Amino acid sequence: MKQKIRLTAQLKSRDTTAVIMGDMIIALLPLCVMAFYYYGLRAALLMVTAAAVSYAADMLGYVIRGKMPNPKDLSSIVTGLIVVLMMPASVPYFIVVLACLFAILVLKHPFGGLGNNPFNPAAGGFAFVAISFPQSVFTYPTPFSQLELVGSVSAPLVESTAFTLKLGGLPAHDPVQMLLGNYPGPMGATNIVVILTCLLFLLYRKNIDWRIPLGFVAACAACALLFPRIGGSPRYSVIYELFSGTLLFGAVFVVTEPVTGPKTVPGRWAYSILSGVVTMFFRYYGGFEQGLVFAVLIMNALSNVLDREMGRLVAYGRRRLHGDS
Amino acid sequence: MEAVVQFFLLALTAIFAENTVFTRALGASRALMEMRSSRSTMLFGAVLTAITFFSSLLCYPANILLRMTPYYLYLEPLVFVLCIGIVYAIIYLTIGRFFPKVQNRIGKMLPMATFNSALLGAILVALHQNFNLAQTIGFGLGTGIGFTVAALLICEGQKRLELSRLPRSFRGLPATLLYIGILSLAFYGLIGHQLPS
Amino acid sequence: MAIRSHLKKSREKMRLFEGMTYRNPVLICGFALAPAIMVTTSLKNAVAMTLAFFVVTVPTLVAASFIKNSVPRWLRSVVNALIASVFFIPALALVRLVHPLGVDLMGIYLPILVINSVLLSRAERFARKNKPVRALIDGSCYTVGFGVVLCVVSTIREIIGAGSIWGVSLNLSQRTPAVLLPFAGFILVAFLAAFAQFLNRLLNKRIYHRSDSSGEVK
Repeated sequence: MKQKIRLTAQLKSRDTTAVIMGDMIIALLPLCVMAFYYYGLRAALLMVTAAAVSYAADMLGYVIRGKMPNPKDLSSIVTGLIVVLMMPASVPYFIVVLACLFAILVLKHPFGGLGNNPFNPAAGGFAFVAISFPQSVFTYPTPFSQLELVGSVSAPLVESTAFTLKLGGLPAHDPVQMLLGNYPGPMGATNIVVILTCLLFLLYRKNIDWRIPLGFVAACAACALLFPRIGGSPRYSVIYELFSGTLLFGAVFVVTEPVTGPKTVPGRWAYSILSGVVTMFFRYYGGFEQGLVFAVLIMNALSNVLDREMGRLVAYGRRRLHGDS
Repeated sequence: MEAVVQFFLLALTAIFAENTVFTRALGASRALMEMRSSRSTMLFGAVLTAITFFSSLLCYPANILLRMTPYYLYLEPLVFVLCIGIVYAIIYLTIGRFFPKVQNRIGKMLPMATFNSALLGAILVALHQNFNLAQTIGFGLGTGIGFTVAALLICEGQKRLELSRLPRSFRGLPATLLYIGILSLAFYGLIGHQLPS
Repeated sequence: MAIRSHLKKSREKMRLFEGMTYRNPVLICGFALAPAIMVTTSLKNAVAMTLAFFVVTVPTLVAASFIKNSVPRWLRSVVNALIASVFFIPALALVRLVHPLGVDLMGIYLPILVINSVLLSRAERFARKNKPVRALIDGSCYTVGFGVVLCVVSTIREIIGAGSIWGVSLNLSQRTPAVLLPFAGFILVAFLAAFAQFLNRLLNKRIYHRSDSSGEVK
């Protein structure tokens, strides 16, 4: 992992990759538990499958590259869990397997493995299966419906709030229920309260930079405010846009990935704000109801540019402000 | 007014939604992958855009004449390559005669920019879909700008890949192709369906 | 071991066949990527494209070998492209014969063969300075290299994406139509290129005992 910029030494143990990944897994666990609570055993099995397949693919990747597999490398498990938490609980198992394999073996290891990947593996894996099987990845079961453990699901599947917004309609769910996650949506992305708690945890452990979620959500909210898709109250537009799809989940876990994002502070501000704008752009005009994963992939390509150019801009601004001396 | 709106709309579509490199794989050549500096990339893109502009001006009337013959598909490349060749020759001779300094900078780029699949591809796409003159020029300009944007993204990607410890088999062409492929995946999220070719 | 020493002795002779062996135009040189990525959605397309490639490229290379240096340098590519456009006429007729729907399916990627990088690059670097027979062999080897890649990629994409081979359905339970999209073509060709580089490195190490090899051939 690249060096983290830290202000105080708050960790009691050594600042290693294992610790950081352990923190991420701890942050994801409440979401996994809530997914299990709402969707039952199938959700748990899907998550275990994702973690296992990602881990195995990671070790396989090490071997193919000719390096010693590192059993303590938990980053692949984090990737697998993020991928599966963005999917509905009714998703077929092979899609989860495909997404994890794509994420690890196409987006991570060909570029050199941990710390070298230019693109966010979880975003890429999800984007791939979202394009390949949109009907399976974008239809969701209602919480507390009975889901079969294996095989295809017979419970009725509905479209998400993001889809309703894309059609220009007003979602029928009560915002309070949306906070608690009691509505059809991606397994890990529906519980807004839990996601915010995880955000606070990660900020406390200094695993992610607070600027990135703030800039991202602010930019999305501003776009929802200025260009609402719902006629009528702008407040509802902001609420529904932010609560639908994988936006808040992505703000905490996907956009904040340290390896693929910029490293400097001005770069991070520009990255987060631009990611928000591009996500909303993909949402409004793109071919799919969610835009986060595609926006993140494109912004990953621009991380270095933003670092460089924002640095130059800030230096120029400083010179102008303080005069030539 | 209508023509201007069509022009801009088509240009924007060609830059982002139907980007030549990411959605049609045109222009994905050695020239694209061996750029190392943003300046030379933008220069190459500018040259490409200029040649596309002038070529579409010449190819549009040629296309109208060609459509009257029964052997359109057979003679199409011949006529268009002739038009592009004429534009290339005029530009080369003009620059060689009147602007020798410019000649030094873009002399090497000129053939590579002219015989680029992006250029011929843009003209073919526009004329196969029966665009009018404003739309064709707009699409051509948009293709050139879209190519430049894509080339800049890929140039940045090359610099980023140089910092990574790529596996030996992936160094060079494979990693760049993979990079372009993943960007293509991301841009597909904008369209959501297959493009006409 | 006889093979190894024989290969070492004929290293120079092997260079004539480079397009077919260690210098694959698509995987190692990065030429003609547009057809290799966009057109390879079915095996029929790939075969038709290879045939068209052969009819366009090889005669043009032979013609370039006859012309030699009579054309000034800056005009050479234009002349080569024009000659190729003339040979495009029989190529299109051939494609119409073999795979009539292919002309529409392959769209603009057929006319683009006329300015393909293999043609322009080999005409400038090889055909100009060699006898017509050698230009013929060189062009044919590059076509074979191109064809092999196209057929492999299109077979994989057709099986996974459409569940068929050569239009004959295989009744597979699961299909992934997204594999027929351009991004999958890029990624598949990238992996094949990595494999080709790996093979090249192996070849260099085992047979020619060169130790610097990264597999890239300039």
